[in-house]
Amino acid sequence: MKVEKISNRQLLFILFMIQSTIILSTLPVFTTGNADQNAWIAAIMSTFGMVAIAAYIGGLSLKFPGLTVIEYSSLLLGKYAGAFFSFSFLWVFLHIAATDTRIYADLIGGQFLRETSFTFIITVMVVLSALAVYMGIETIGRAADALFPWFLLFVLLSLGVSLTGFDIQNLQPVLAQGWGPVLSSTASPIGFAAHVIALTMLIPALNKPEKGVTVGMQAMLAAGIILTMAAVLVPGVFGPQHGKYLRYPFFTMLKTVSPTQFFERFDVLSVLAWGFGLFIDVAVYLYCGSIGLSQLMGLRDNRPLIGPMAVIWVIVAVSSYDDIFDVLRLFQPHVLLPYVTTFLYLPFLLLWLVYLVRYFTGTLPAVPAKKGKERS
Amino acid sequence: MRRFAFAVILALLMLINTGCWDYREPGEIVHAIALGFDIDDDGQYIVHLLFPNPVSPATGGGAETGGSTENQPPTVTITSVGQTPMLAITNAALFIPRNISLAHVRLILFSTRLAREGLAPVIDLLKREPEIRLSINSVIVEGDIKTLLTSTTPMESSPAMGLNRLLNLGADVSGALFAGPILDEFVKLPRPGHEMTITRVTVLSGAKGDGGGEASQLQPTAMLNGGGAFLGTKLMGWLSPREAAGYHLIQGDLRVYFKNLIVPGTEDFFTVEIRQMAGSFKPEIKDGELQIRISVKARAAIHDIVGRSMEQVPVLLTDPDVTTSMRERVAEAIKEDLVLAVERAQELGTDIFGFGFAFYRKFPKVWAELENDWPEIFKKLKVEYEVEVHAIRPGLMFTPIP
Repeated sequence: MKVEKISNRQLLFILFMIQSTIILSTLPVFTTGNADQNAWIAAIMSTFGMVAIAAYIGGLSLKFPGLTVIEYSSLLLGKYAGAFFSFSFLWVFLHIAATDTRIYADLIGGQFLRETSFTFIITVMVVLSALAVYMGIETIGRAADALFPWFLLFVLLSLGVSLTGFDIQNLQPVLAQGWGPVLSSTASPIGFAAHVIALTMLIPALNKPEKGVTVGMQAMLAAGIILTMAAVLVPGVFGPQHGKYLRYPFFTMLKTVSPTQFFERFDVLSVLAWGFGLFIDVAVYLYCGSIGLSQLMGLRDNRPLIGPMAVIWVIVAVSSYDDIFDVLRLFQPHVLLPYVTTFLYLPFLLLWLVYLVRYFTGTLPAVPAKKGKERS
Repeated sequence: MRRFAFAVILALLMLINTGCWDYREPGEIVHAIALGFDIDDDGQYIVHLLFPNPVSPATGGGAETGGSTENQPPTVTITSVGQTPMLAITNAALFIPRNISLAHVRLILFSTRLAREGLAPVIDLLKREPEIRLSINSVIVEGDIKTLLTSTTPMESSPAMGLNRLLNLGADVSGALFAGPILDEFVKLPRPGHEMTITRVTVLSGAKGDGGGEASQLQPTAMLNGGGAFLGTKLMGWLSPREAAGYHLIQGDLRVYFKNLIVPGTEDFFTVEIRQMAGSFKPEIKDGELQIRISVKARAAIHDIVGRSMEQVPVLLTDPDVTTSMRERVAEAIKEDLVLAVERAQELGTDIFGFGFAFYRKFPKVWAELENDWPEIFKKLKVEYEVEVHAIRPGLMFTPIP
């Protein structure tokens, strides 16, 4: 029997890679969508929003040490209401991982492996992640440790070489259309902050869980810096009017820049970084989903669930969207934010309200003693 | 045992991660290095694809299954036709016994006719096609693209390589409109108040189009000849090399060019190399009137002084009045090129300098009122010029020896 633990550093790497991956893969589309050359202002504002959401989502984990969101939902709301909302969170885990996988598969299938079956690409990615989940969260943490330096190197190199194509004129005039488009452009990044829900399942596995929320906020801040840099560079290279029509702006930017006539084709950096991030992303959400479901079903071990869940993950990734336009429609600010609010932010508001009411009325349930996750 | 099973699974994953469905034998792929686009009388797109010949001795190839390849030319040009640019490319597969790859295309050529009708369909293809990179060069060809691509280029193994070098190096010193990445022009298309320019290449009589010729008798096949000014994606007219130099002076990206001027107080000539140019412009609104102020600073170096009698003349470069006068003449000559460029663009009605974009950036609220009428406003836009030449360098001697 052993108790699985990851360090706070590993959690930082995991959350940073997950959030940065989705930012680099798709986000400039949405930030340049309305804010045009002011995307960087929207990105800075979004960063504050992302950090606040990390505190909002992760905060209750500090009130219920050692418990996941699935466990303290039942504790706060009762067995049935807690289970009802837990399913909502499980759906978020499933949908996030399936959507992220789908976007990456679309890149690989559409740009490089055009003959290869789409389902096959998704299956390979999910199987690889499922293997990591089967090995446990410590394995995922160590994988994050191993991949993070490369991930960061590739991202920073990508950003660095993009500077060669940067033209400051493309970022002018500043705020010519007022604050309206800038504010509306913060909706998608704040919706994407839903990825931080992994925090609620990983804090109990931390060496120092009391610092888990701080780590989550730090990860969001670091990812927000990457977002801001991407939001400066993509419109700076392509121009805001051109950049917003690109399917993969960051990838296309690296495909286009040529710092010298000898060194070019830097798009491989973004594809590698994206692949590393996606592996951690899918593994973590599959882990969170399987742990959550096992807790809901009262199972001691999540591993029997991993195989069937991986199959469901593949089916959802393949069949949820007809094509990439379907994914893009989901990511529109007027769709994404209400969707995430309904499935995540509002349930957490309810949990906070119930917590505060019970705290002030002195009816807060005692946290059951827990040794951590046990594995054979 | 568990570790062993895990290792086996990982090893199997490696096998299936090699992209079997997309596997293509390198020997079955042929990489296009230049793409030329044209249009015929029926509105069909014509595409000329230039390939390095994989079996030519010049490219290191040889016969695979016997037979002689000694006389195979280093490059092969295939022409095909289609209703859309992409169909024209795919139709080329009917003539080529290998898979066509566009990943190594280094040069895009547009015919003058297609440029006049509009490049929008081709630009859409270039931006959409995953294999093509927008860091490559582009030119408008005055003359027949196929003749150019099938000619033997002096000092280069292929016409595309020759043109690319000409664009990257030769244009730098000739003052002709020189090429940057094709993306630099494409990003101007959706910009307010900024139009495209693309370098013009004129096919010369030295281009025989037969791929042959004695090496010692090879003539230049093409020359840089200014560039084309666009409105949207349609070619509106040409800029001469002098106008092109003026254009680049205003853009602040001309590195060097040469002028031939009269020596003060004589009828003799001197050639100056103008370098270290810093060109810029700023939009102004004075008393409700829009104007652009162009500022150029430069240094000049004398390369030769030539008398009418072809004998050296006693020009006293140590005399400050002479050098001051020479500086003024260089400045005046630069200004002439600036005026030529601006007047030509105004005549064509296309804001290739991005004056409108500058107004948009500096006066966004005013721009909202100007935007719809900008092409007309640009034609009458007031432009002021400031040119300063800071120093005249005499080379390695002050005064010609009589």
